[in-house]
Amino acid sequence: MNSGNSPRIKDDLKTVFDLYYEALVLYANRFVIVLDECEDLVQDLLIELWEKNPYFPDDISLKVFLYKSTRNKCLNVIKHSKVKDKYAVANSIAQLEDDSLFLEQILEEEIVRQLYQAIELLPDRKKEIIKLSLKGLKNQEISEILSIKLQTVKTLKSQSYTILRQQFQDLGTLLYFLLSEV
Amino acid sequence: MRDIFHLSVLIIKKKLKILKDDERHLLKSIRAEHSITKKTDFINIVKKISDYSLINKEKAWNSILEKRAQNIVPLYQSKKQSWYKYAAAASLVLLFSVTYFVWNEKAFKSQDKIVINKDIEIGRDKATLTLEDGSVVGLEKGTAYSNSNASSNGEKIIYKSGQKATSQVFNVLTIPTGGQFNIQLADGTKVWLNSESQLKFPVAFTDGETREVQLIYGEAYFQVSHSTEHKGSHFKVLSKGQNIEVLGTEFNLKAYQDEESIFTTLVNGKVRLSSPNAGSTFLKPGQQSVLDKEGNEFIIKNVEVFNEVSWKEGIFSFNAMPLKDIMKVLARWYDVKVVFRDPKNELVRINGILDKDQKIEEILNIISKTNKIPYEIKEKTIIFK
Repeated sequence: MNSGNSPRIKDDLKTVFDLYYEALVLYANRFVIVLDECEDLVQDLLIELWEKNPYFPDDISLKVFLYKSTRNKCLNVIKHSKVKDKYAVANSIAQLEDDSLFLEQILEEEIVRQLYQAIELLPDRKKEIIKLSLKGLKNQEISEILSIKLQTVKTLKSQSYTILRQQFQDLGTLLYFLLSEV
Repeated sequence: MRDIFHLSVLIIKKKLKILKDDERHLLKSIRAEHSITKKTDFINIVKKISDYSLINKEKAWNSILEKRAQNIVPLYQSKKQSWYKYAAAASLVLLFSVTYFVWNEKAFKSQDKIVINKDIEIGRDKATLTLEDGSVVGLEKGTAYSNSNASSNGEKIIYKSGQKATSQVFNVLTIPTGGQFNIQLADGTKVWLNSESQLKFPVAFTDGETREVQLIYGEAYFQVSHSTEHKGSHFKVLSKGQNIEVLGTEFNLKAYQDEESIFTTLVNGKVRLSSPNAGSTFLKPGQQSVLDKEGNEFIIKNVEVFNEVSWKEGIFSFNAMPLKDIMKVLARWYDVKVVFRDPKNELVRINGILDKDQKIEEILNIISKTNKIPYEIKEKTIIFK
């Protein structure tokens, strides 16, 4: 489910939208309370991207750009917001400007985003089971919650994990080579 | 900051228990470098995954197209070009977004109408076995069968080992459209057979003599028991246009009548391919040979093995595969016909890993949604508009 190499936004706005829209909106939603405002802000960001049509050497540069731009947009929105609660505004700004918090938050958004895309491919029943299992529920508990047989849970769960694993198996090994050469 | 994105993959791999040792090390060092000590909270992750459904993506994309159409004029103005150019550009984009709307609405409506088509069934384990005397036995999940050479539980058929091959007696296993089956030959070799395939094989082998089977048509995955267990006898697969000779190995052979070429993919071990016109060649694991229909040349390339053999694990895996070819695979499994109204759509390339026990509608909806190709189902025909 990767977007391929070196995406040019102009050609591939839809792909970027498909892959990152929700993640960016929910990231913005950590600071900007109204979901519609978050959506607006990310939509504007994507349109600006499309107009400027910058070149990204790889997917990661694109990701860095997307999250950083969303963060800046949030800062702008909050600074110009008409909210009178100065304390809340100051607090949001402080959080947004905290670099290590930023990393932690996009780490979480990226985990959510990639898992979502992988899980999305599963049929509904398997989706439910895998979500409960990721939460740490035992087979017995899952079977009670969904009122299906324990054996069915086991079978569907193991099939779902096979599919998920297959999607992540080959990811992320390249970096190791890059790092170990340095 | 870049390695945060790698860290996200590593954390998922850890959760899925597929983290390799060197990756475990890497995960620790990235965490340390950015002093990320917080454990990943998967309860929260799953909650956020569910939050994705709060967002109406279709609406969002439409509003992006709208905004984009409005934005284009001021942008061109800044470059001080004559007005009609922006107007033309703007109307083009507008046209595009209008077409998009209409198109989209169509897709939406047609999807709405689709409940579940009762004519189309998900493929399952089934085959027919033709015995040496020409009699035919139907094999299917839920029905058991046995004769003096073999027994079947309806999901696979196992030939007894150690039978003496007096004279060459052949059986034929035929997998219909919408079927798949598993066979263990008398030498212990396992063969997975895909839909629309036919395998001819002897009911017993003689150690020391070449073991020979024939894939008359279709697709099969072979897990060949090693020649060292059979006094060195090689294993040979004949198919239309080429022969494969092996010692002990795993490989996938795809030789459908309606495909342009014969594809042989080696998973493990070593195989030798030969053909009257193309001569002979060896394959290494991870390599695939493509022999054109005329049988003139073996073209060897490296492939992602999983994509080629996932069918036997109950999964379809497509990597940038043209929709036309994906539909060939689905047509065999769901026993349907496919029509493309717009030939352009035949070449749309799609990535995806899909489950073979899904209803075909679920698969088509994913394809249709992500690529904006509306479709409809009429009886057993799928029409891409």
